[in-house]
Amino acid sequence: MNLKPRRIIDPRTGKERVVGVEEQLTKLEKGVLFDAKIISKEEDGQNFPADDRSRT
Amino acid sequence: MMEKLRFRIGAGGIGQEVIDLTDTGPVPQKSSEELRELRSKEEFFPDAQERFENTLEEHGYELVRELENGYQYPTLDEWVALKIERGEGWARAYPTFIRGKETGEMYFAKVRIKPKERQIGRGFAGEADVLDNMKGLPAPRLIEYIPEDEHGKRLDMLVLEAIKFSEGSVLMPQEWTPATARNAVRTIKEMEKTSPDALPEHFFEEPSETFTSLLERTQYAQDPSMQTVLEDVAHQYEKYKRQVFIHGDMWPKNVIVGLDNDNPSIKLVDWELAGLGYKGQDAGRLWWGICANNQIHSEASYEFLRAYLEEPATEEQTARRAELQFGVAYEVLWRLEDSKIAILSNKKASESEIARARTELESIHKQAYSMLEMIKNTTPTDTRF
Repeated sequence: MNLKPRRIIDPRTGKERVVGVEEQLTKLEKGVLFDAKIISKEEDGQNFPADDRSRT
Repeated sequence: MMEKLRFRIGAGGIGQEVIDLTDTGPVPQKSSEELRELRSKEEFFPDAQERFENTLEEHGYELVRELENGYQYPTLDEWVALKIERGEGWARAYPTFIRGKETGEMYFAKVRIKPKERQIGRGFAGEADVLDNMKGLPAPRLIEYIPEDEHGKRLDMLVLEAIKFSEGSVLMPQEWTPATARNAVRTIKEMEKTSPDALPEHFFEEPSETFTSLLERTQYAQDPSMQTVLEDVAHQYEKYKRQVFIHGDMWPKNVIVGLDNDNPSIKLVDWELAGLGYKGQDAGRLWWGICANNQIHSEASYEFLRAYLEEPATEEQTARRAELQFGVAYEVLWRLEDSKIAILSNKKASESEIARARTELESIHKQAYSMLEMIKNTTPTDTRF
């Protein structure tokens, strides 16, 4: 799917960063409610590479 | 053509924007017929949505689609379509958020949407056995386990505590820190001391899978030197071999790390493979995951290694070294079982599939050699970082 990352405020660091869709999905699939403050939708940006062995 | 999938996922505080997975560009769509065919090929229950709704209704839950601030979560059918679109038709479970009608509390639910034969390990029943019987595990709270019924009206469902991202989360390999790695090792070492006696009897049956059977089965993907290395590692481990309670799938994606950067809490999820296993297995798998994506020489990777080797006596340190080598070797064998590599055993595989498998294999071997080398050459007091 052609999905885009989002710029958020990371609750871990309190700083802005780009979070990829893979990361968003990873968290949700493991029972983490994605409650980060979203700043904007990104056109481009760092996206964490997809892991190859998720076994959900 | 089926209607364009439009749903939003996420949850959070007041005034946050919507994460819409499909509003950002062209989404390759499959026709209803193609989708039905793929659903059937992947063995997704055709009536899963209905059975899921029955399960919720009978047990006093409701699906949380519209989350508190307007976020929308996909229904089961939408989720299956999304997984197929993403080439992840192997998914066995629908992860979702539900609410207790009486309590109003939000929970995380995992719903099995394929036949029992497709589940991993002991499935949700096994996970529930572990979470219910083994008190004090670093795990989300078990709310309840609902088995599927023999009439095919309900689905196998595990209801667990939901965790907020603002409290803890899964980390990507690049996000692992030395403190996280150290605390993860501490968790592994504490779990080793946990008595498995409270587990039901079937947890103590002889495992059908052993290191030797894996080694034999994956010979098609081993070069002679790697095979010798793996056999040597197993031989060295014999002296220290000990069965302990393990998580069994301690991959970074199954580790929820708390927000305290200096002393982060560690919770593990997905306990379907938990039970008796060999010392070093959890550590091998987790360290492999921390080293993935070129993070092998990261601070977190070295800290994990140092913390694992750290023991008061030299003999204990030697044992740890042998255990971790075994854990890495076990992980290598498990990875060779991956369908991307297993294609090498398929005589009908195309040249491009074989080439891809060889590249993947090369990368596994490279990582394995580097990790085994690091174990040999690192001491608990190493100050490389």
